[in-house]
Amino acid sequence: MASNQLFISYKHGDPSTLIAQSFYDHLDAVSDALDLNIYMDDKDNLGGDVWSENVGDALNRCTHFIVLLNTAYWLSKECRRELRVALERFEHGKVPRLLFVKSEEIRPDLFTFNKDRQSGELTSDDPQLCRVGDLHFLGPFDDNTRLVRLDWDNKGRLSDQYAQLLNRLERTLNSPGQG
Amino acid sequence: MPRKQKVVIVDPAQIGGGVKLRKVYISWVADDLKRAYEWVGQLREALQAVTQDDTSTPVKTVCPGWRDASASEESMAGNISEVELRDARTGVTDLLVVATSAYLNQQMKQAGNKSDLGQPASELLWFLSLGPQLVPRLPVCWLAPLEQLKLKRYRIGEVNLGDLPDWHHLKRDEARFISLEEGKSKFVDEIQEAMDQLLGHGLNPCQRCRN
Repeated sequence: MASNQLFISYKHGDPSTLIAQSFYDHLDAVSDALDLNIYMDDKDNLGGDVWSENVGDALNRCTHFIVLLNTAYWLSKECRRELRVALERFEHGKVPRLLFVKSEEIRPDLFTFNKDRQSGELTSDDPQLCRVGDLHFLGPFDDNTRLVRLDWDNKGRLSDQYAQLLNRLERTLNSPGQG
Repeated sequence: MPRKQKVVIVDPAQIGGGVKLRKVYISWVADDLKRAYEWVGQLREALQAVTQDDTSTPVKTVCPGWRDASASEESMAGNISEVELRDARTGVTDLLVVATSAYLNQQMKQAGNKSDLGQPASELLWFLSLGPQLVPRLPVCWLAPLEQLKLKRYRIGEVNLGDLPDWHHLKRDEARFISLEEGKSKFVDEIQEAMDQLLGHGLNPCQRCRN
């Protein structure tokens, strides 16, 4: 059994499903070398509306929870449910490691830290993180290390971004404890 | 009554006992981003316009699974009979691997399987398993990466691609060919440079060749 259990969480849609599948293929091709077992919701499931037993098992087993983040993800009840399970596990045991990929643009107002949360008090049911440091973006980053979105309109650039994500993931896998 | 003539299948690559033809086999698979389709299409067109290499040896190109743009995406690569494949693979002098994650994924998944004829289902593995006892001349292995790839990360069956010493890199390690949308002129130029390397090699083995 692979020591790195990855869970890819994403919102089904256009083009996010294609992005997820493409990202999955890139990871799958190196799964032996990086000792990965990858779970991604079956593309036949409809729009993340199905909360299957498999999803729950994979969520409880995963060591790395990868979010393909976009506005639709944040607004999806089912996606946030997955994220909440991962967050709760992380807050209790620092596992799984929470890794984010900016797959598309995100509405800025959706991605803020609740000040109350910094004291550790839970003020809502929404997924939240205790510390900014717990939030680890795999990327993609541009040449000035600014977080950018996956460039779906430029295939060459996109393939470079996937390569960057793989490199950063590999470094993350090799550096235990660094969230 | 005239004698019935025995039919002998002659490998055109070996007329006269020696290899007389450069046969370039393009190994590829269609990917989601359609980069391979664009790249292979351009290369194939350019190679077909060439009749001989720099040493005046005739050149032939085969690209199994290629369909024109009007064909459906699913039929662009991979759907080909074993007989067609056998013919296409006979006498190959140059194996050109168009490396993408999709391609390597497919080869990895096929690595444990055998075809109906008992051959490795993975095309790449099939070529890599050829030994001098099977063919008069082992194909030169060319690598055309369309993505930044660390070869050591990829294992096809028992073969770690990073351990193969005889790759003829058409791009240096972890570099890639640019895509069409990054600039047509450079896209075409890079493919022309790849062709120049390929056609400049000739039939004689170089230091990197397995022969």
